[in-house]
Amino acid sequence: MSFLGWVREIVDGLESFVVGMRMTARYMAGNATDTGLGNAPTIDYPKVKVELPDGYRGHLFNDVDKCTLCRMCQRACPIDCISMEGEQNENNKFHISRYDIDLSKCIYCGLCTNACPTDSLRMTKGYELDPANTENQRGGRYLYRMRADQTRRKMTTADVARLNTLTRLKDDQLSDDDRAFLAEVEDRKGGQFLFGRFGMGWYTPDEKMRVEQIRTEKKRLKDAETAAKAAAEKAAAEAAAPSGESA
Amino acid sequence: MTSFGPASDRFALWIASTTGLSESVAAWVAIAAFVCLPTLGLVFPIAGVAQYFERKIAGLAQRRKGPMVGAEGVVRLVIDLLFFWKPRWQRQALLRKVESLPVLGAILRQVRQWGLGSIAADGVKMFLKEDMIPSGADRYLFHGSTYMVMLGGFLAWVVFPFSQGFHVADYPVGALFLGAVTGLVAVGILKAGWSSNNKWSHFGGIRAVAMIVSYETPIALCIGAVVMWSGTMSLQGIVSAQYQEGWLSFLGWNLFQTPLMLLLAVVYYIAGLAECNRAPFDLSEGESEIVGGFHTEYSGLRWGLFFIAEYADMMLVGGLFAVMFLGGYQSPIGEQWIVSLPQPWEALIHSAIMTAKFVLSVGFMMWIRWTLPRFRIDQVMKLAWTKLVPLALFALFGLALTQLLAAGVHGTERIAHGQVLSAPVVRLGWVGSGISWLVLGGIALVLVALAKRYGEPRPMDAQVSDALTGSGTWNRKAPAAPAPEVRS
Repeated sequence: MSFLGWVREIVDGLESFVVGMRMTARYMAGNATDTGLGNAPTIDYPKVKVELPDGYRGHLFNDVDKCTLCRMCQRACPIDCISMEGEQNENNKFHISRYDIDLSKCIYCGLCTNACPTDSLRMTKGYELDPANTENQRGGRYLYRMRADQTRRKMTTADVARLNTLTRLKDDQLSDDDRAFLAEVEDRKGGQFLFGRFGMGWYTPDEKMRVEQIRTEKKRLKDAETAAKAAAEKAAAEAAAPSGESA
Repeated sequence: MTSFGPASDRFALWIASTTGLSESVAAWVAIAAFVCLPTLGLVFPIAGVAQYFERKIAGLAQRRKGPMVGAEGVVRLVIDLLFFWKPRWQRQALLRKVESLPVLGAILRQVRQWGLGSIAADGVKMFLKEDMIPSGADRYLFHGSTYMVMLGGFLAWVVFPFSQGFHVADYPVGALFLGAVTGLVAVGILKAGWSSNNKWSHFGGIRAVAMIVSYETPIALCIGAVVMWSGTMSLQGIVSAQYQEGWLSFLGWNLFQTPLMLLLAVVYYIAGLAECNRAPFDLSEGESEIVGGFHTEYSGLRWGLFFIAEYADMMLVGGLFAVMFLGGYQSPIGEQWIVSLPQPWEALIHSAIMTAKFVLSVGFMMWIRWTLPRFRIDQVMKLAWTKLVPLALFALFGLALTQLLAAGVHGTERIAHGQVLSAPVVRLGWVGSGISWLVLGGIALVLVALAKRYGEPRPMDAQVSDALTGSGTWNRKAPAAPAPEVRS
């Protein structure tokens, strides 16, 4: 390698270094001033929400006032994640008493909303699934948005009316008294309310109970087996001992 | 009185006279200020905070936002602990009230906006991690190497001048002391790699030491050249030698004396990057090859000590760069006005300038880290031995020649910071500097033009290009042995 080649290597190295540094400098400047090249596409998510397009297929929402219990959605559902129960009221009119969507199964295909004749079932833009997050209006308020008479728990008519009015309010419109009432309702409903109800169906309590049952049953069987084994051994030892003594 | 030099004595007297403390107490305060302030009070926090800036710069360079951790979590935790019996919505309402307070809320918002919470989060994380020692590790070396690396990073700050007379110790052989002490880092890293009982660690340690030892050579040549130019090994002396009166005091800095100094500065900075194992020379660690390198087995605060030592090293390289080429603690515009201020004010302003210089240098290192990809080990070695060492040697001899020529032209006795320098110092002055820049700069430009016209960069080694393209003979299977003939 000649001397000039050696110089050329150094010059090339410095030049490429300057090119690279200029590139990152432009990125840094653009990112710091939120303009031009290097503008970070990151969104400060919990504080800033993404603007979703129209027709976004988020969580399902059923308007129980409109629902006629025709079960078209149940039939349209390709994976059978919808289940419902209904009763007749004093005017012999059907209305929903329980409407469950198992979100662990739902694939958000939207076929049920196409099938719905009264447009009571529709897809919202909600995508947040945190029942504990009451700060979050779409997620937390969901719990209260269904009617109280959908729950198995008996409540007074006044309670139901109050709950229904409160569900339409925003978080900051609630008084301390209202909050206490909502918390109490939530507590009273407990797991039944959170799980297996509309919108929150990862694990139903039934499934949990079944798993628990199976576990206890297995344990019982195993205990019985070990007990039987121990008894058999004891019996064998007792049977052997007299013979040993006699020998 | 304090046995730490006249400056700390004067500082102690100033404390005693202004606060009315007894002289012995004032002496202790002065010693604490002079010994602990530069290292523990300045370097340690900056090294800790540097991680935040590293992440932020990485985010900026990579079209991300970097750390976005706020401190609301801490407030929430405190509220939850204090009012644990209250229902959740009440605690949340309280948190909202706290967040909307005039002062605290504003602070919380700023912390959230800048992501400053990550500093505290990182620190707490480091303290809470388990301090694990792998079975089969050499316990004492495993522990000791941490302290040795720390020592190498921090002991060098002993001779570091933060202001005129503001230093822990000004050895007449300060530059030599620096070179010796920073060698401890290499020993510590090798020990850490060896004592971990882990092949990754061992390879990382060996790589780091091979690199550090190679790059010590250009660094030593650079320091030697500057020492020769300044006529003293004391860092205070090197800084004083760059003293220039008037508003354009930056013209007295070594960097602007002659292009050879610029060349030397570039060589020193590159070698310094390698010296503290920074990208693009971070061969001692590599997630895909040797995981964490020499600190694979370290966890928690011990790992944190390595981390802080790395940042202290970076600052040291930047600081030494400033001392040797950028006039140390001197202000670029008008130095004599700062010198004429009272002692504490002068020390404060000088320290601030010095700190700004090495913090900027650390920032530049971070910028480099997030720009350049890392080198292969052969590229690293070639850069050291075929580029940096010849360039440093060339600059050294060029400086010696310049010094010989200039000594005949220019006077050698100088006054800096109001005192006569002990060693004769060569300053080129306006004319000499101009001639040097014109002649050498012209030669360099001609050389670059010629090289771009006629120079051909060396082709890549056949073995390396084969390895990169997958062709060649080195990785082919050996030809199958001919099947034995079957005789009937």
